[in-house]
Amino acid sequence: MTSTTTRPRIRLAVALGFGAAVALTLGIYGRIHDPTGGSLVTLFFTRTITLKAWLATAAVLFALFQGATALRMYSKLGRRTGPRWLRPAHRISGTAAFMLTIPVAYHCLWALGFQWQSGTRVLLHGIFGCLFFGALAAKVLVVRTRRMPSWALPVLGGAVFTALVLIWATSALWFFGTNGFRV
Amino acid sequence: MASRRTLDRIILVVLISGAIVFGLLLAGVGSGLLTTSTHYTPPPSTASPSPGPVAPDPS
Repeated sequence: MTSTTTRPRIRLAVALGFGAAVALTLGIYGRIHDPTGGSLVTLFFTRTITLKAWLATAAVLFALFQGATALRMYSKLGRRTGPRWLRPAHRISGTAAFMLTIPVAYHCLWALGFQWQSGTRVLLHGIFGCLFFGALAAKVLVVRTRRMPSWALPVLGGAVFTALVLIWATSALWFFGTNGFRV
Repeated sequence: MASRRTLDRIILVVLISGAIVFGLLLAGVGSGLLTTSTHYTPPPSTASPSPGPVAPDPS
């Protein structure tokens, strides 16, 4: 095996290791940190939970745009790679999605913690949350590193997208389904 | 090309800044900026057998 094939794999392993460390750190933090039970600044929303549900929904909408633009950029959606604005729009929307998740994840970890005895939905929500930030960290490293295996970016992008949708499904979608579309 | 590099740098700075702010908030630095003294009340669970995340008793 030549160094030209091993080096990309080593780089990818480092990126995946970093992502795993991020996910584990958040999970461990959520377990050992004493939850404060406090509320977020709700801006014009009535409650913390509605703020979180709508921020998560906005992040998922950005993620859907991300998925569509990625498919277009790699000619999986249409024959051409799309207009020139697609690439910057893809990156800006991804950054926006990440920024929207920060206050939501902060409240989950800071005020509620990683709960494993509050039911399956809550447990899965916590696991997907840690996976999301771990996969996102690895994906950013892969994007910024040259000569990665060609399959790494779409796989990690898919993992980030899937984790975010599952986070949303186990929180905001559940909230809207049980409590209605409140603001 | 130059504008693309600038945008890439801006995005990288925003991503790193976001990660740093997230880390600082979790460490308790400046968490008062985002939180209020109001106790968080979990949403009522009417359709799911599993309750929402349970906020700890402040006492």
